[in-house]
Amino acid sequence: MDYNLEIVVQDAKDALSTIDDLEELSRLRNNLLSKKSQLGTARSSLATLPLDQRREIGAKIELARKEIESALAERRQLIEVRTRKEKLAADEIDITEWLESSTPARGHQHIVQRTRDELEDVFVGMGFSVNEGPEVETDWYNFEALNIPPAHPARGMWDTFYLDLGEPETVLLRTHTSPTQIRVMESGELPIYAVMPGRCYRRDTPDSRHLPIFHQIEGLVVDIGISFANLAGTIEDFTTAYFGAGIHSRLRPSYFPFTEPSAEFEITCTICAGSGCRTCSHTGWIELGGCGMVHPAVFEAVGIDSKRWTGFAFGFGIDRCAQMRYQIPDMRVLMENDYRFMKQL
Amino acid sequence: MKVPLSWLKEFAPFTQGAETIADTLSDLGLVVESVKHIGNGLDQILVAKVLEIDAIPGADKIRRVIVDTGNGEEQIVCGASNFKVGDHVPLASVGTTLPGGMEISRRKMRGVVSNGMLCSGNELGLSDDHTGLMVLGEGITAGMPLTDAIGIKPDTIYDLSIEGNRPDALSLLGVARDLAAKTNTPLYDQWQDDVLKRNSTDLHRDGTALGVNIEVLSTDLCPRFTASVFNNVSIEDSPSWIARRLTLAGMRPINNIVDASNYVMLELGQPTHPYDLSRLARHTLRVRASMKGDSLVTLDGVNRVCGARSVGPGDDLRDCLICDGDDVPIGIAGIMGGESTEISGSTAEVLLEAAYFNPMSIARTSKRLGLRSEASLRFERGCDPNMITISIWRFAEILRQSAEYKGTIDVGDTLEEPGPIKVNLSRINNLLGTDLGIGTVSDTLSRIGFKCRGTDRLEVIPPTYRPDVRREADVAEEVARLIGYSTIKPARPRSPRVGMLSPYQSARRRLREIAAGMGADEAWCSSLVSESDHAALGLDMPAITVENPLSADESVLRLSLLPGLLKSAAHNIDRRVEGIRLFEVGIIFPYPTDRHVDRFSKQVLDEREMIAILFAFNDDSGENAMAALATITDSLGSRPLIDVWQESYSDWVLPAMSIGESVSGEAGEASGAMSERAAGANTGAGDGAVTGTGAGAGARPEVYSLHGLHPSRSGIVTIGRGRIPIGTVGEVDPLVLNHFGVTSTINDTRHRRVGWLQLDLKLLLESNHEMPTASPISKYPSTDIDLSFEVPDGVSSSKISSVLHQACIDTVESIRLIDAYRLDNRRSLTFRIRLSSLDHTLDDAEIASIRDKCIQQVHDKSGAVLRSI
Repeated sequence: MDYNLEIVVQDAKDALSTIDDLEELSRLRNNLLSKKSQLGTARSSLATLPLDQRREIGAKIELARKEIESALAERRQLIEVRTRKEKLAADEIDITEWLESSTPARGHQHIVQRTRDELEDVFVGMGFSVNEGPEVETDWYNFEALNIPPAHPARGMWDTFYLDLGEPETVLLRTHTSPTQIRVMESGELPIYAVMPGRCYRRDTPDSRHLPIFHQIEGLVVDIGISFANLAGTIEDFTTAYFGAGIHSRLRPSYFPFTEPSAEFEITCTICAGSGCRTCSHTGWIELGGCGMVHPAVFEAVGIDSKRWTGFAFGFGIDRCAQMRYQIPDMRVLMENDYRFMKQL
Repeated sequence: MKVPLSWLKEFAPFTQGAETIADTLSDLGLVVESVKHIGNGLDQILVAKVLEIDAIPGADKIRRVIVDTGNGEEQIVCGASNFKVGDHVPLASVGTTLPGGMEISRRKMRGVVSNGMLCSGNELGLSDDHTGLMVLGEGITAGMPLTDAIGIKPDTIYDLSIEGNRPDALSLLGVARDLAAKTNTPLYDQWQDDVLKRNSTDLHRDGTALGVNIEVLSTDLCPRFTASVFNNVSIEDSPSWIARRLTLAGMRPINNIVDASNYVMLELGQPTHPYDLSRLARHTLRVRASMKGDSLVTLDGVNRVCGARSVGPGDDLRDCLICDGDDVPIGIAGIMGGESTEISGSTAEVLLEAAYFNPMSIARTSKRLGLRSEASLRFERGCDPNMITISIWRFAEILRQSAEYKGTIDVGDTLEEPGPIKVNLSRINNLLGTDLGIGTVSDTLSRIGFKCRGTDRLEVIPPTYRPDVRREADVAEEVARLIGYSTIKPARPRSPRVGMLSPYQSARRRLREIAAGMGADEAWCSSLVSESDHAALGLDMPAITVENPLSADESVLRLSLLPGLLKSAAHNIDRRVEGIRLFEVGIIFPYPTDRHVDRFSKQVLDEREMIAILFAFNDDSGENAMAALATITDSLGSRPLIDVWQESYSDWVLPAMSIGESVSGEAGEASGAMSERAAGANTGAGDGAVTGTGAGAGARPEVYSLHGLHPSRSGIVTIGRGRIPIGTVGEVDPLVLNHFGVTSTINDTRHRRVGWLQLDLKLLLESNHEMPTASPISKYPSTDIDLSFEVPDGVSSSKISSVLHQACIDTVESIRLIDAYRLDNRRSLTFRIRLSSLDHTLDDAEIASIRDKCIQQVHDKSGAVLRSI
């Protein structure tokens, strides 16, 4: 027995350390552990040894074999890890290529519709229902029931599109969402806490702040004991809920035939937060809409006892709200459905 | 209305700053649109007299001017040329700062030293004129301060927006009255007494006096009419203070008579009209309603035809006219006078009309003629009938130097004084949310001329200049306005209800989310389209027309969302944006079957809210639209029974009916790839008996017709067992795409396909609101069988699918078309049927038996045979 097993093991380890490939590794394994290998020869020569040495040497050979096996396994794992690493490294890509080439799979909801949803949600949170009415209305619903008799000078406030149905100027495209108030009140269910959003039409030449087709949201509360103070409270609650805690409201006298007292409501300028800028003409306030206590003549038109019930109404432009919130310089872009605009918001 | 602060101060000694006054006016509801300060920084500007004007060698734009400054001579270089030697002009000497902030220094131009600047009106902030120097009038001397020379002091001009209910605020007096009340400033009433003392005369109640004849034939249109005679009139320019005030208030001075009339209107709110008496036939004024054929040429040179068109319900077409003794119309009452009796340079006798016209009549006529004037603005709001005589006397006073007032004829006077308004103090407080005492309320009201009687239950008599105050609520507004809206403490009301969206509203939002989730951007298209848009789709049904459209492009109400979305797609393609998917939720307006409508009609149209999606991404086709339909249907909690009808493939007849009719549930067996879901979930769930669809107007199925769609790649979507049409699905007709410009810019040779889906939201969402119930799912392994059929043309795959479904109804998990092709004109469809049982694993024998049954039934019911592989 002239093998030094320690050297055999050491040689095997040395040989292993140069292997980088699984095929070579398996060849080497064969060389190291086959019958013809030094270890194999040593094992087969055991039979020639005297019995007392056989056990001792045999145990040493087995130990050497285990050591080589474990070195092989270790090397195999090393190669496998390295190979996997290399393979993945070769797969490398600049993932910002994906970023730069990606487009959102999802489309966008129209900014006016979204604004309408948000406004509805604020009022729903305040216990209001959302009611809708037709866009084609009669003179009665759009004007007369709202205390605006035919040829009333106040009709000049609403340039109207008339339709070729019925007698001349009896059927029209509603100029505001207020006729829906009449319909809600006519339904006879009291009290009323409702907002009424929808599309309206005015025969105005479009400019950066007006469109002939636009959207309004109207609010109506009719209950026992409703006061002007409640109107002011509701407007203020809505303003801070929708525009943010720093934005407040104020009411100033105005005139609408269907409310008395009437007011216009202004909110803190959202551009300068009230410190004064060009948008608000350096007043710190911008006008948002009109409001007031429901006129007794309107209650009479729908058969509600104005001695018992009082109420308030308010209304403002949804498009204007969106314009203010998203700082859209020219409203006309809202109707163009231009991808370059829609994809921004 | 333009209101100079200096003029306001004639009525009350306002001491507040200009900005405070602006705020106060806005708080009163007299909204200040703009504030303009004039005449500031003029202290150092002096009058200079031009002594010499010389050319400067080599310069043709500037000249050397020697002026007398009142304190020696100065040399100035000047670029203006509108003055001559001897003129007086404004001089800003060296060291002066102009109102615009420009500081004058000594300068040298072309070698000539300029010791100051001669100024234009624009440079001094006094006018918009910058074409030349401000050449001053006579009677002034060099060295005077400019402000003395032209009688101006720094002033503030408020431009007020006066609401339609405030005739009184269209006068300086009215604005001053409100402002005085709000600021606790005493109003001078003295001037009125002075006018009365100096000018009042007895009124002639007879129509004929003073050599003139007045006839009021239509007292309903003109309850009160006065005519005043002025002799020995000399027509000249107005005194400078009148001309200046008119200019500041935005009116152009014309001559002393016209100016006096305008001045009185601005000051007191009463419009008057002067006639040249000598040009008035028979010295007669006759007030009457217009008759057919009446017309006249108004002061603006336009021929006006009376009673030409109705301006709304209740219009009797009567315009109020002023005629002469030959019954020839010479003026449109309360709106504009005629050319024929206009004041001219030779007028020597003036007849002044001051009247009260029916406000509604003036409003109608003004609207009818499309003619508004300062007078009509006031009359249509309702002038103060008690201001008529004082206005005449004020006019006489102003013209004292140049006209002799002979007297006034006053006829009519049938106006009723306003009665008292019963006002309950506690109701006022309840309405406002305040706790005002009786003293506060009556004090507040009395400051603007209201008379109050009583304690808790008040009787309030509004002044005649406030015809808008008629009821308790009007009185409440006056109180609130004067105490200030901002003094009312906001209080939160409390709704007794839970706020929530209706199921329809929630579902509509969900569908919009889903459409966006499918990559479509939400569009907002005009509800108004052109007739040719509808014609391009081949829609030959009538649409509702706008009587007064802004343009022909937007003159009819849309019958489909298709034109709008195609136009939006084309807009984007024109801008080189490819790959478009758009959706819209919007109203379409089917023409009513019942044309009868009056102004009280509760429902004019059966408006239909639709959702439409246009698929124009590069590889889009009708398949995407169909997938969208499947997704939308699937998203509805109730999973209604949806079918698609295509003429050449459907073996069932599309119900020809109006939607409101109830349709029998027996109309046909459930069929269709999508209906399988409903049937599989719950046999009852698909029973889409459409109820509550509103009125039964009948034209709707027409609207949901296939106009504008690809004739062999589109169909009608139906809902329920009764197969009620609710919309369309498929591809857009290539010709229509061309018409709207939706063509590919990438590849012109390739035929572009655009998918289309349009659904009636109400019919879709309200057909079935039942909540679905869950069915148990199998724990045992499932088995797929693939069956390929050779299917005759005209048999739809939905039909095969539904037969397969029936054939294995107890064990089917799903049926899907996995392959479809056509070879040698033979059509092959392959379905994959997944089978399972709730209580065991299906064995080979069972599966074979199901397979045979499927093949047999498909053959029996459709003629399709299993394809040999």
